[in-house]
Amino acid sequence: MSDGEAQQAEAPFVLPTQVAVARYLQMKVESILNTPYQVTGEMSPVAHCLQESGDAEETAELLNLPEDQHEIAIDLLEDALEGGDLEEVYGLRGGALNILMPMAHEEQDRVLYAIEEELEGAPELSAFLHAPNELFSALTPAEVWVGTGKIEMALADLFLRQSWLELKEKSFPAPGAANTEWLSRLRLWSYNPAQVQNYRGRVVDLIKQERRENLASRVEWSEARGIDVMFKPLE
Amino acid sequence: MAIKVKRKRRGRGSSAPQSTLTGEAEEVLNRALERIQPRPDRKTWKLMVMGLARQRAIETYMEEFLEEHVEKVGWEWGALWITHIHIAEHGLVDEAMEMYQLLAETFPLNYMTEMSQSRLHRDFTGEYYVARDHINVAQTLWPDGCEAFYQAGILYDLMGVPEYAFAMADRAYGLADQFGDTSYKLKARISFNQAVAMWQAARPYGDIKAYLRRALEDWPEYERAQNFLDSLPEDDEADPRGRSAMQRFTDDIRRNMQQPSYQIIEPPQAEDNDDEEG
Repeated sequence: MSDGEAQQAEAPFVLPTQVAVARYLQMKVESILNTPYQVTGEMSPVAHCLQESGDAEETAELLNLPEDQHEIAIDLLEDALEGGDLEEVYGLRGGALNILMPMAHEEQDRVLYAIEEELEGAPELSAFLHAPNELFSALTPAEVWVGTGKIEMALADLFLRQSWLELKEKSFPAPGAANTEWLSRLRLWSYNPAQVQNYRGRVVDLIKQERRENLASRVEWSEARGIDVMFKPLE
Repeated sequence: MAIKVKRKRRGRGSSAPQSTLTGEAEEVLNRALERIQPRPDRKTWKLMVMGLARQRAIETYMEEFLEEHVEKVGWEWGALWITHIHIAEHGLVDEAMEMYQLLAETFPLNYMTEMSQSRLHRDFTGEYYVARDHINVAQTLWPDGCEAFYQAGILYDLMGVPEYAFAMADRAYGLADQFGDTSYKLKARISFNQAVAMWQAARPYGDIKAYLRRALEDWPEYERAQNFLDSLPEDDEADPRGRSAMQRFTDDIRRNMQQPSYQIIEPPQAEDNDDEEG
């Protein structure tokens, strides 16, 4: 058995593409930053950074993450301290609902393009930040920006383990074909009630609700520090 | 007296006539010709193209396309066009990309080429945004092409945007008659897909049922639609607050859900879409 095969045999699941693997790592770090820990004073690392340290490096050091995750954490915490940047929502962001999507680039966003080309106005941009977006599986850019929460991460882990169990023996003509099969399952899963204790409701609704709550908290912490948050929910 | 042997003339009129393409483009064409049997030539290419077009219910578009670009398309284009469609359907990604490149750079853009390329990206490379862009080009090239809207509906469903999936399917339903005698099955499938999109977007069960009933009107033996209809609860229409059972269900989440998850968004090409109920 090769090293790769041995690793695969031990892994709880294997994702169909490298992009999905990178997205999973991103999602994992996002969820860590949105989850309270003892080392960050029983608050989430994001809250710690915004309320206590005011320093991305200092907060990230407390988490003792592997190097690749540490770097992602620094980027996300620095972005939180700056109040957000639209560029940050593209790429590998979007959590569980987007884990099987290809990399999203700003120039692929037709709604943003239309706003920049034709409308050129703050109200339109603000509406765009809070409108479901086809590049993010109908999450809004603001919901993407705030990142994955702990409930979403737990749901995603369950789904990915289950899908791997069901699909690992199946062969596909191309990695993209496997991805499409995984994605069909992801959609079906997301529109059905979550199979998790203490939570009732469709997966997609739970995910959106958790992201909205985390966004509201983050805006509150940021404003207390005098940071103007680009993704602040509309009144 | 020496016997004269009449040699067969090769080249002109054979199944592999001289190409006007040169260099790398000629090599791509030759690779395409190796993949197809019978090979299109100067005499047969148009017949072969129209034969395939009839199978796909795009003969009206293709007649106009050939007429409009009569000076730009010939047997080379025909060979590439036919082969690209088949190669893309079989998921031979590299070859299909190579042929598409030549078709797009050397000849006028074509609806069916864009549709094939879109399916290739959806089904075999997983590049769903690229697939979306090819469908958009196809819709621009032939705004009345049913398949482009039908496939866009399927793609948006995969991309997790049920409102767009619904809107695209709605447009496809209005154009489905171009599939002639078999359009009733396509219409039923479109209505079924719309019902699924409505279920995904947590719309009222009464609305979902209306689309399933429409599917069964078009194709009474459509088992999938009947099964879905049978699985839905009865009491939705009697809801005094006019809210869906799905929404009531999500209200039970321990958190406070004030708003539905989605808003219905009008399709980009919906100006003349007034013949079907939304």
